[in-house]
Amino acid sequence: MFLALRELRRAPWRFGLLAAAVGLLVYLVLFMQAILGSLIGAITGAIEHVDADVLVYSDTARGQLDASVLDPALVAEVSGSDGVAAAAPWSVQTYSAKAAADDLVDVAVFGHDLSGPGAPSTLAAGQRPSGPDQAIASAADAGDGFDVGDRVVIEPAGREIEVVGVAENLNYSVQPTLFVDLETFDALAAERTAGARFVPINAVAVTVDDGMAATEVVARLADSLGGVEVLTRDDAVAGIPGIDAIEQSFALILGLAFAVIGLVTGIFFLILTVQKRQPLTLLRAIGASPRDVVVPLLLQVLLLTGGGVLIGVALLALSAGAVPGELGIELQPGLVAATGTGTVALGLLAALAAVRRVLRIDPAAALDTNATGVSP
Amino acid sequence: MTAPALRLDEVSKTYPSGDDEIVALDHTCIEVASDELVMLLGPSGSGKTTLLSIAGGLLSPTSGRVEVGGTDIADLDGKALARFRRERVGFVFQAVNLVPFLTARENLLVVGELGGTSRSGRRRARERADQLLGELGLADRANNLPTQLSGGQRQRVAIGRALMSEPDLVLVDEPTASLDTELGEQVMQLIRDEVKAREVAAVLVTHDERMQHHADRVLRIVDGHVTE
Amino acid sequence: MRLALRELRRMPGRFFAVGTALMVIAVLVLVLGAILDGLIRGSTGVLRAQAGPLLVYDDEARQTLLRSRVDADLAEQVADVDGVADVRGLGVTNVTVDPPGETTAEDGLLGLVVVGAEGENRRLTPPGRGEAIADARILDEGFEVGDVVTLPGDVQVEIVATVRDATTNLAPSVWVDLDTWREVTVAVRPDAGLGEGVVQALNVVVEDGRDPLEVAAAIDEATGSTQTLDQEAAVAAIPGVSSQQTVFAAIIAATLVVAALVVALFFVLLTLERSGLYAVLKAIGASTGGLLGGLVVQAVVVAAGAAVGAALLTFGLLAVLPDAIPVELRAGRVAVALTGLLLMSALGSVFSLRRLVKVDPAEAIG
Repeated sequence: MFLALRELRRAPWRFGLLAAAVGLLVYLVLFMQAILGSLIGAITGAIEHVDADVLVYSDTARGQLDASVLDPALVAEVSGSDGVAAAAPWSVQTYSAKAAADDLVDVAVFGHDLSGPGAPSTLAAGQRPSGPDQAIASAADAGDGFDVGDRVVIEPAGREIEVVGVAENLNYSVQPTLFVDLETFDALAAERTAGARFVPINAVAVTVDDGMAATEVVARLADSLGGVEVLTRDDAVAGIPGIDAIEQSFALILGLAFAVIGLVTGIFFLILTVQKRQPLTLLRAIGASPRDVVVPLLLQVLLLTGGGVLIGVALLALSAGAVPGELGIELQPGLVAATGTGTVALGLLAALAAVRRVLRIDPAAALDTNATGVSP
Repeated sequence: MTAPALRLDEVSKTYPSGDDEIVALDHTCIEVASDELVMLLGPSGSGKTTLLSIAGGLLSPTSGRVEVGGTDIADLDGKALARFRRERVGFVFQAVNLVPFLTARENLLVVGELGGTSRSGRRRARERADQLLGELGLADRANNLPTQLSGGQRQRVAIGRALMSEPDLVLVDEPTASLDTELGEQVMQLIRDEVKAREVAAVLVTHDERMQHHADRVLRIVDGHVTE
Repeated sequence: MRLALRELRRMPGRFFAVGTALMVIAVLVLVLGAILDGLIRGSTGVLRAQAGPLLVYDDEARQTLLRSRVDADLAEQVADVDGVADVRGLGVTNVTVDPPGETTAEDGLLGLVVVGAEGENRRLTPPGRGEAIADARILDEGFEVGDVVTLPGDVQVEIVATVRDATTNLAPSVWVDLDTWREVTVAVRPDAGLGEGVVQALNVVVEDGRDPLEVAAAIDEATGSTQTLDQEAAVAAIPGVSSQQTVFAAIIAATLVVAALVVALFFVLLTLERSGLYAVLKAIGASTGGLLGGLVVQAVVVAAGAAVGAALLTFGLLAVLPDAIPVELRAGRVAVALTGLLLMSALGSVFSLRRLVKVDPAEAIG
């Protein structure tokens, strides 16, 4: 410990630069993860945070909720299936609406059974709708006129919806989202396209019996029903178009950033070790064990990568307010901790090359007089 | 009558040490004529290295006057000092100190390159370098790297480098320190021949009593005091 | 200077470390730029392909094609405005089609964007009835020129040619005439309200010598119900475009700063390692400024090498990326990014100045 700290204090610039480089990279990683999190949440939130273990789409929809069209009569069939605790219609449609400001915004409106599957899992504030023209909105939009007590006017018919409850992370397709009862949903649809014969539903939301595995129910329903695609809720989220592209793009960038962290840390400590070979040889010659020279090295790696992580987290906290437009940053402590731990572990791994070098030092070499007359 | 190559007038060098101070040089007075080879003989710790450093503009004296080739070097700023060392002084270090990634010839040319030279200047420098290498018996080693040369050969390259800029003064530090008597004799003879042939002054600092006969004059230095 | 270059040539091993680190950092920067360009180009191609400088939306559309409706009467009104040379309709609709060949339940549907347009633009001339010009990427999906694509509404079109950089919504585009586009759109979105002659927006060609912005203002005044933008503004208004650019630019800038830090770091270590040599050089007359100059030269040369390596690596990397990731490697951006790298490297190397100043030439003696 003594050796490790002493060296750090004697050469603060060197080590400071490394910590700064690592810190900046960690910041980039955390920043991108935060953007990724909120971007994906904004697209999939509505599906992820509802009460439904299984979702039934039409098989022509290829996993896209908007493109799925089902006969409402299917709900009864699904209800009666083995392992199904309850089933209810579940639909979504985009409407233009006026919220707080006078401008029109696009709003995703979900029609769901108030007491059945497909309702938002937990509320952050307010209460669930008790009847028509009431809605649960997403907490992210509360400030834009979608808070408890606000009124949203759906155009062009001008139907007024009152927000009675708010839930976390309920957005769909990066839009403000409202969960209304089926009656309201059908009324809105009728107002939009007058004379529709019947209003199809997009999906059937299903909760399974206690003790049943969702995957088993999926298999059963897939067997017994025709013309449908049955998915667990997680699969439904993963299958949303665009999610794949976003996740892969981010994975690539984050992978490269981590590669740089590992490379820079590993090379830095290797060079340092090589430069210190004389004093290290001397130490070994006067009786230091291999452990005595390796432990300070690892301690330094720990301190520096840890310091870098702290710098990165601090920068993230500072910039939490400064992101433009459609993206907010979501700070997830769990993810931050994981990234921090991963960075330190990566640093330690990368420092193995330096450790190997240190262990290769032969104390007998201290007696070698290196008189080549060539300047270092 | 040309100005002396080196003139130290009441030069002292002290270092603070806790509450005391260490006196490396004590009111030293030396004069070296423009064609003299002076040997400064003394044990380690006697201050001879300090004296050499001050003479070459590597160290500033605490007090006293330093003149090289008639120029007072105390007033020179960093940039001017660097130029001074490039053009007016030649060093032969104890640890030889060749640039490891340059060939023998390139090591000779490096001083010229540091100052930036014209095209014709570079040509002249190359000619001079080849001439020196020939005189030093290194003509066939011109393209070798230091690792490919023997200790004695590296020493000779260092001597060549010191002579490249046609300095007023050549300063040599312990030239025979790691050599046996025969090799040491050869090197000393070489230094004397080259220095005399070019009518350049030289100050040799050493603790080796065996080599006195190569010098025009021998000064002794003990604990910062110089005596004839 | 020559000394610095000679060291590089004779002892390249010393510089491998910083060169490798720089190369990976450069790859990161180039990949970020490529993803940004892929996103932007894939969203803005249709608008950038327009021949005329102005785009007319209805004023309730909030500057996006999706929400905009312009009918034939309005188009005529616009055409009558002084300074308007030509008015072309434009419409864009997302569709999904079956990929060519045998389709099973496992195959995904193919997402396309059908673009209805009229008149020659910067990339193509929209074909007639029954024909289509498709984004070249459609060939990667198994289609060939000459194939017939069945669009929603059972509308069949034959691919007669392909085009590049003329798409939007990150999907391959299929350019058709306006009537075909209307047929398809009605089938996909029955509520879209597309009567005869209705389009989403108008592309306005301006008379020679007239100021487009002036004409734009004139159009809006004449109609009272439109919002007319120039191409740049229209492109910036596409959702996501400007925030993507800002965020990515910030990340790229931060990464370049990392490059500077890394160069600073490794060159300080190098300077330390060579401090003995520097002492000797200073003793025989090198100036600190000269030595620093040599360092900067080395940093720039190493960075240049890393840049070349990174460009090649990135090229190869992007070639094997899964299709899902939208990327486009553009020469302009690559040049700017790599120049930034060289600059940052030069900057980082200057950091060693302190170390260089501290080197005492007296150390060369004894």
